[in-house]
Amino acid sequence: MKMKKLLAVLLAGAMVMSMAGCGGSGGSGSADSGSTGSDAAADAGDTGSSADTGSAADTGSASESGDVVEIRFTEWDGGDTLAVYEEVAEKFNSTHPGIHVTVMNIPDEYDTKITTMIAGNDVPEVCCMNSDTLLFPLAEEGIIANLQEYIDNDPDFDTECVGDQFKYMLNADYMAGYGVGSENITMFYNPALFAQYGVEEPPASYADAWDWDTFVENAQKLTIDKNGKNALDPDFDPENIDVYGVTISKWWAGYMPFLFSQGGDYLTADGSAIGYATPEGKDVLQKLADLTYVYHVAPTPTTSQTMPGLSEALATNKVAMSFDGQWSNATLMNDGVEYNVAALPKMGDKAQTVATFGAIALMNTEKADAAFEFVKFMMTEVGACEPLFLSGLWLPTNMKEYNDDYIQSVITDKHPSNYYETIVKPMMDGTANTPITAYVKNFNKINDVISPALDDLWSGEKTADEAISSIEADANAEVAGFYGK
Amino acid sequence: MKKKKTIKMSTWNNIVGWGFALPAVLGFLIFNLVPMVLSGYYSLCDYNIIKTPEFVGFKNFIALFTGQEKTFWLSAKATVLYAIMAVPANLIFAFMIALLLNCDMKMRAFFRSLFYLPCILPAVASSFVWILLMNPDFGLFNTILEWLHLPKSQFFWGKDSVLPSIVFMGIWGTGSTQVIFLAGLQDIPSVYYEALEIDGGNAWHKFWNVTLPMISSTLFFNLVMGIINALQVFGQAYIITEGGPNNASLFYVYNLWRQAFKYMDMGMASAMAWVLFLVVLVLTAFVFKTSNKWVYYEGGEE
Amino acid sequence: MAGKGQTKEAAQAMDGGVVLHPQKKMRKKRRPYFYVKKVLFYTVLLALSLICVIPLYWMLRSSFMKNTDIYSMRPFIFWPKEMLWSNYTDALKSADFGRYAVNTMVIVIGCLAGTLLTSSMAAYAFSRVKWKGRSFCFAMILTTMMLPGSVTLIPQFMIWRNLNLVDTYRPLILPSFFGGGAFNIFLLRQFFLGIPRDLDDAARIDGAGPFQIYTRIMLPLSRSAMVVVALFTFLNCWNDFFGPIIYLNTKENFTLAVGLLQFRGDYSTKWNLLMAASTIVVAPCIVIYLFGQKQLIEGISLTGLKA
Repeated sequence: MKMKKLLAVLLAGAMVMSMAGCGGSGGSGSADSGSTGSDAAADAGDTGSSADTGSAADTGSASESGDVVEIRFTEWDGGDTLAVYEEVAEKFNSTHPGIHVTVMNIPDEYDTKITTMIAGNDVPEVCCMNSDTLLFPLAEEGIIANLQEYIDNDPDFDTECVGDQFKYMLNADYMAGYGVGSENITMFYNPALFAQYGVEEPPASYADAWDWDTFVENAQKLTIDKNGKNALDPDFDPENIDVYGVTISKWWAGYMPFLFSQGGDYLTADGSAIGYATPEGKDVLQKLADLTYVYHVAPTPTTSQTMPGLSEALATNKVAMSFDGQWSNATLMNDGVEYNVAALPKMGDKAQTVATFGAIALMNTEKADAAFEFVKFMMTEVGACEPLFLSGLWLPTNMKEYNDDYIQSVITDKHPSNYYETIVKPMMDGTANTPITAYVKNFNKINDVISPALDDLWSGEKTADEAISSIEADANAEVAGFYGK
Repeated sequence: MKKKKTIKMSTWNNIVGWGFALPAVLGFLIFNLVPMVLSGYYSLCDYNIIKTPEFVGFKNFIALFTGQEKTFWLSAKATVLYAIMAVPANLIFAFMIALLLNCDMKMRAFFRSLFYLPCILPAVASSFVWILLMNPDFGLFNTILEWLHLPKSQFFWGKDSVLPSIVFMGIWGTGSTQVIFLAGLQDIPSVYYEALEIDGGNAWHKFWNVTLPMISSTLFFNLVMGIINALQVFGQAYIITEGGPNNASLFYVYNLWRQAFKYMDMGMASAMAWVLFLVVLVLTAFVFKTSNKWVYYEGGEE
Repeated sequence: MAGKGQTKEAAQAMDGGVVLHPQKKMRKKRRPYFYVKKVLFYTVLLALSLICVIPLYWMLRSSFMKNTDIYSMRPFIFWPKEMLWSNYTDALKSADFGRYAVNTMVIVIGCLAGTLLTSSMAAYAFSRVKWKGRSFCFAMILTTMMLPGSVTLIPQFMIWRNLNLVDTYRPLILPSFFGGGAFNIFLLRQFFLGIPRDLDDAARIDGAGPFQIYTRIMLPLSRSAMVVVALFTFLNCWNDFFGPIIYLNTKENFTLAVGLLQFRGDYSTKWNLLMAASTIVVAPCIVIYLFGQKQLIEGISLTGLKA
């Protein structure tokens, strides 16, 4: 009997304890996150059991220095990027005495952790966000603040720094985030192989880009089997290829430049159906698949997924051309590989590429005003992320950094010679399209329907028409139109 | 007199039992019960983690079973296929390795450590290696297959080969099962073997009449854990295949995680979790029920 | 009892006349057969262990190489000619691994103490004492393993959040002091059930209480199982990155497993540094395992004696 009573009491206690938490989660999610850091710290300090001595005690240092507002900036990237963010935070802290920014690195399970923190009423003040998952849903619930409002209310804000193409707009007035660290998809090539097989190097400028047939023909000349014969030779042995003409990256950013080039988009213009189901969309996918199964100039998807890194592939003459993200420059430059970049070929009238970038979001917390100062610093401070421009990893998202003087100053002699023409210029003249994740609603779910179906295309089991038709209805059922309109 | 004593004994036993189990029971009440109950409640709600859960009855379950949520049956199928292959494969292999390592041999400590190595290495490091080993073009396994004039495989990148590949890779991660078997094997008193040896029993007799019955409680444990773990397989899909190719390795718990943290549909994820919970519960209860037919405890069941 | 019975039956069956004959024959034939068996045995053992070693070999090899050479297959580099020790110094410099190691040790020691104590206590209650509600409580504890963690994560986080214990080690350690996980309880229960009951009865006649039976009989006799539990707890804590990522915010509180992940960049990963750091992080685990499995062997002789 006693046991039962005791049990009941304990049960009730546990219930109350966690119910309190659930109630909180229902709210706006921003209510009392302000005090949490210091509470936890104080608690860790005075009740310090043997379990958490020392290191756990110094959680947030807000408690000791009265007026300083503690801001947490979460991001997922380790390595050099983390180091640069920490430098930026330090620079900010030294010029903003009332605010202290700490970079909070979450090296894995980023969305899980952010979601959990939000559910637990412990919202970080500034977050890097995945535009395909959390960014827009959180903005819809008001957990991410409207950056536009803060910018409009700040007379000191230098709006010349802001570029429309880098905005993540929930609707016409609500800015959910701003791009940080822009990149685009580009062509890397190995000049030595072009010289060896007597093929003219690809043009640097998108204005002169190769058309698709020229590209395919050149790729065939550069695809060499183990007997030294190229893919145009009737005796060519496609089973034993030594040098591949081209590798393409198998994700949305890898195909979108060609769909844009054909005048298409991820969704049809009225935002009611997927763009791959249009004749142009299927044509793009089929042409990319034909590189492998008709012309034998590109490795099979399994091979390319498991190919050595781009740097290794170019350095060891395994690949003549590769469509990949511009961020690869950082590794290539660091490894000292001999390479260059060039414009992507065009499938339609005009050669295009697509940009990708992360989003920095201001969270709707009590400290949002102070946190905005940091967001503002990230958006307007010229050269804040300069080490990453110098390393070739990123391009600016601050429009003031897109002037020739500044850009030339961050292009080093390690950068490939076409860097400015091929990579920087498209960001300024609109050749690099806004990432589709910034304006396609429900992108994540649509993509999770399309991608598996494309596996059958890349493995050669189905044509583009068959693969897309098999999921067209399912994918269209997930289509929900555009953001920002 | 006698009666009084037995009553006292049972009360005393209750006190001792509850006393010893108290930390664990408290732990269950504090850390597990409420989250479990809450997730059950969420399964009946529209709940996107941010907004207040909104009660909708069995809507989520209906969406799952009627195929409105298209990936549900797909992922259930992948998981069941995996479990059917993985549970026996892991058990048999781990048991064989444990028998092997329990033999009298030179450098036993050394070999035991080698077989446990794949479990010690961090997942980042070992999955990187497996991806390279199974590379269809230049990986070691295809090189060996080619050398043996056997057909090559696409491994993780083929629709039909991805599940067997994950099972195969999983076998090398059964170090902990092996160790549990080993500990069980070593608890078998050697007198039983000696007795049988005196009577002229051969290796097979020893295995069948001593080893198997004496290891049955360990086998039972590993079977139950094997079932629970196989149906909750997640890591390989998360780290290596991302559910591909063409959803062939879209495991149930991976799909559930995707619902919860990628699509922010915690209601649907909770509904999926509870469907799985009930399936695992029924299977486990079934194994427990049959266990008194084949599991032998030297200390007796009670 | 069935096991003993079977043993006797088997023995009786053997006595049925055929016994002496095969034994003699076996003696004669043993020598060549014995060696063939030995050779076969070691061949199989070596072949299997080779696959087990490959990941470790790969890790070590890559930790001494340039990032670009790791992938090189033609020609395959079996071992780098020039061993880049600088990878190790670079890896150690990139983060405060000393601090991470101390943090990890704090968590590991806390978890070990809690788990060994409370899971064995619970296992004792579930295997040796008859009490009301025993099966029910055991079943409840087992169910905690059956519900995927994804859906209980957020409520669990909220409990710790309401206790203001996020970003301390308590969410990572305290659960160990409350049973140490269903897996360990279940495992130990199975082993406790295998310990002959006569031993408790004898002790009870000598006047031992339940506590004495627990400390003097159950714990010493299940030493190998306790070592297994300790080993698993150690390795799990050491390699766990999910718990620390969810419950720790401050970099200064991070553990080694989280530190390893920090080498992974979104754009490119310095595999050589990651492998060097992994080697450093894994080395203590290998030592612990070598030590632990020695205890496992000692475990046999003890239990062998008792019966």
